[in-house]
Amino acid sequence: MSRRGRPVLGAICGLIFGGFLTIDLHIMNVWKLSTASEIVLPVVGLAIGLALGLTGVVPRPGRSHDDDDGHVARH
Amino acid sequence: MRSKLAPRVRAPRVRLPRWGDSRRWATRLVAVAVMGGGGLLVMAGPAAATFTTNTTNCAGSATIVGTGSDAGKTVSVNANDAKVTMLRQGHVNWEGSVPTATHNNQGNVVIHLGLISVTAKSWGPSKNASNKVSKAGVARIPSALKLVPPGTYHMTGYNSSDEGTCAGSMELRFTGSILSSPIGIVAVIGTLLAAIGVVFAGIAKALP
Repeated sequence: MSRRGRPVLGAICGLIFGGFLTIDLHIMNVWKLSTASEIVLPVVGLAIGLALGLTGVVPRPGRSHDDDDGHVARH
Repeated sequence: MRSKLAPRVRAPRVRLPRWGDSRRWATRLVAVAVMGGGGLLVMAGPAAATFTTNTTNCAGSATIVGTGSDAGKTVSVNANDAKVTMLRQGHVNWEGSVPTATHNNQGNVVIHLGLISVTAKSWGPSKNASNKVSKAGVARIPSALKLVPPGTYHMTGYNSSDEGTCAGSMELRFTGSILSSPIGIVAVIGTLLAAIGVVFAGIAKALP
């Protein structure tokens, strides 16, 4: 059985994260609001969220990596 | 006991995904995403401004006198300027001129907010039967500008007439901290919550 997080939640949160980050960067004068900047960062956020959700790479709090590996290998 | 005649069937070796595999893939995807975002940052450099079309040789300038929270501040801007640091409250004393009279003038000024464009002012068609070559006036800065979060906004404007067109663009810069506007506060809180959601989504579910 493969490791798996929550891809749907990751994609939605990534999309929202990218959208808010676009506004933050605009307010901090890192870049101007444009059609490209409004589309790319949410898509990048969606990709990151989806990737993290599909792979489940974030360590579970309070568990070591060895425990995780051992658990997966037994299946 | 196993019969000697029974064919020995070896189960296909299935390579189970390991911690290192998923981490490598996630690292690759994140690297691609970061490179994409970095590329966009390079693309989003400061843009040039001023006149894009000026067949009528128009000219103009304005002086913004601050009031309320911006009292005591004065900003001068010329139509040739590429960038202006705007005040949020005050009056704009503007003037515009052309060397020879133009007729049937019409135009507008639009502020572009990414996918959204807001028309700040529009005018005409105006016949200009008296053949005026200059015009001046006083305009009040809209109160909605107090709520606009800090940042740089792209503004375009044009005036077309029978004799030609005058068009240009300018960058409006509003100063202030990220927490100085309600939209900024919502954006910061939303970013943090969404980031927590992304990290939570990346935690592997407990296996049964």
